[in-house]
Amino acid sequence: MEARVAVTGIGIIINNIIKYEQLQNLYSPNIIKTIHQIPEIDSISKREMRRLSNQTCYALHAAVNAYSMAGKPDTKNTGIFFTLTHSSTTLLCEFHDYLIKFGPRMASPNAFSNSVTNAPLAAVSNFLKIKKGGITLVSNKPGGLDALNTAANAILNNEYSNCIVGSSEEYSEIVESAYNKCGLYKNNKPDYLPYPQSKYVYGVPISEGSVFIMLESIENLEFKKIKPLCYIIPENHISDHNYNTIISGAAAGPQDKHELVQLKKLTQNNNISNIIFPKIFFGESFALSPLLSVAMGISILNNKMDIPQYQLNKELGISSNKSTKTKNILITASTANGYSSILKLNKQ
Amino acid sequence: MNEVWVTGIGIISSLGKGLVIHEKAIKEGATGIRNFPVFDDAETGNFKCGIISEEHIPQSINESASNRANLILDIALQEALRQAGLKGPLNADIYIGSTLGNMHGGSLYYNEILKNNDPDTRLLKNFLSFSITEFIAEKNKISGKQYSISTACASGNTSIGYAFKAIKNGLCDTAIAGGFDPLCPFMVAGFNSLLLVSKENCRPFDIDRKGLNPGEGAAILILENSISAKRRNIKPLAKITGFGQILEAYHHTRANPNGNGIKETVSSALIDAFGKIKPVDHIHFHGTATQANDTAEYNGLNRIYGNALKQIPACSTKPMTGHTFGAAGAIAAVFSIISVLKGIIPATLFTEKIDNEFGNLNILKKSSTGNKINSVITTALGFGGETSALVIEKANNGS
Repeated sequence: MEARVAVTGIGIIINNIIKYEQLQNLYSPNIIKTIHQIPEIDSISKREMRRLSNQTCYALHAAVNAYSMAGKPDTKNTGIFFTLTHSSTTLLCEFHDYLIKFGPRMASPNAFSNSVTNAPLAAVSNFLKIKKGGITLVSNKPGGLDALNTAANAILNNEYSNCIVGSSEEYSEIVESAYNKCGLYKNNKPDYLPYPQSKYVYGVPISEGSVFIMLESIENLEFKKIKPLCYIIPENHISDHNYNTIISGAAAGPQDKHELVQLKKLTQNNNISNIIFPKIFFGESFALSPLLSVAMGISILNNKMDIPQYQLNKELGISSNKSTKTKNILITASTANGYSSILKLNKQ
Repeated sequence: MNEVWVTGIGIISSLGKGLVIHEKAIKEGATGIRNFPVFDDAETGNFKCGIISEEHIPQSINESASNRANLILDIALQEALRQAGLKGPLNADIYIGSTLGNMHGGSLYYNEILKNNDPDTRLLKNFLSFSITEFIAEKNKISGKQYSISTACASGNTSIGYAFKAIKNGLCDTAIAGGFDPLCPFMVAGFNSLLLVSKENCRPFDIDRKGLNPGEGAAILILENSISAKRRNIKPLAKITGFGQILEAYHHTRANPNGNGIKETVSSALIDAFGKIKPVDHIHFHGTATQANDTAEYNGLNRIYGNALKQIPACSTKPMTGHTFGAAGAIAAVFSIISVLKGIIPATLFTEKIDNEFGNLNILKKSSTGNKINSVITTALGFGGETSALVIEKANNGS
């Protein structure tokens, strides 16, 4: 049997979804949007929340929910793995504004210290009292999978008995305009499938939010008699290619050529019934995207979410999703220069 | 028995380029810190900084805004690969720590927006630290997993630690590990806003210490599984034998002054290396010369060793290179390897009167040679409660 770890909790905030049970709402039309209101978090005052970046607030919301769903385990032996693409652009710009207008003497210490890359991890660690260890991975699109793979391996190597793994990305106009200038953005959801019905390829809208996932060792689970949501098999332990569903990181952008190569190989060599492109539902959220894919996969495995229906390009070897029940899902993510990561979800 | 060997080292800092230069600088007690106009204001804009000489990076900070990090990291990597007898195509995992990436490129981009100019997107090309990791992987034809790690000022130390664990746990045979950060006005202003920057040369553990001097640099270690290194007939420079890491969950910038985080981290690293807590031959502190850091570090080590701490010569080399942020932990690891290889204890420059609270501290005003150093512990702390520590040991049958 492949080495695996259990998923015991998920927390999520994206578009207008603030908890895992609402993920089916991703299929609603015109869903991709920025988060208008961050739900309050018990024990954190509004004043304290105002001091933090949106990115950190989203992370706290999702982490607290994942931790709670997992039964609030003892954090004595818990690790934390976090990933993002860029730290809070809003606070970085705020800091620069003061620096440029008033010089170094008036630069804001709060904006600086809350815009550093590991600020969200530090806030989650502080709030949940997770002290055993952990890192922030600064990464492009495969970041979420690398974080999950690293955490899963750490549990399998007995470094931790459980890990909380998350990502948080914050929308800003600066980021949107920068990607727009690079030709990677379109301001409404494409009305065709990204893979590719047409020869034109456009970007998907940029979104924001956070996902945290609680992972636990199988031994811990048996001791606590908790039923997991599903299991994760990290990349280096995948030996059984028994998945019939792939959730792909394609976003109708430059990384897609690598995703297509990977998808073609997978569909040729395995019995694939479904390929899902979640970014057309939740937008482009960089390092967060793979964790959203994983959340979606977990929801599908637990029959909380349907497999979406659309026609697929013949190059991929299948013409449409068959919506058959699935017990194994492969998650993929790639970058424009060909770096990629995968991870398998399993529901026994 | 499977060990994690250091088979190649590369380093660049304000002291110069290369291992030999840095060994010479330690022996001579040299410093690379000088007055530098970080901001335009003549009165307030000058800071004591450890900036890499124009001899190695001819472009100014503004001219190299979009790729300064790439340049310095690649210089360090080339030296390390040469020393290890490796070149691409190469299958190795990459673990690189940084706090900034090419942040200055992002700053200049934003400045253009504020002036209502059309900014050049090339300034953002290497803005994010993972793009620099991708750059060195592509340039040097390195395939394998890539990890850009950010644990604030502990990034370099943590990255080496994670690479060490990956090899120890059989996830890879070869790893490229280290850290980098270029000098950036944003970072200087940020630390200055927190009142952590000194306008004088920094004085770690001094009773009148006023803060850090910002610096830039990069350091890379090639780590290999000893079994696969032996197949290549390569001898180790040193061994990494232990790693510890803790999140203090105390404050978003300051370390806990009682030193509990460092105590847990160092204890964990020592147990990882030796199976128990025991004295080492030398301690290489993070020693940034801020009030909070030095107090926390001293208290942590003092809680482990007590009076025995007096017998362990220690140092901070921040007065030599400046605080190089993401590179700091990796540069300290290189200095620690020089210590085990050559028996040199670096001086802690400019410290005149040790703080009365650090009664068991044993630091030197001048470097000392001819010492028998078999083991070093090197520590690093960062914002957000990050603490990490590495145990570095002399290699048997080493070079």
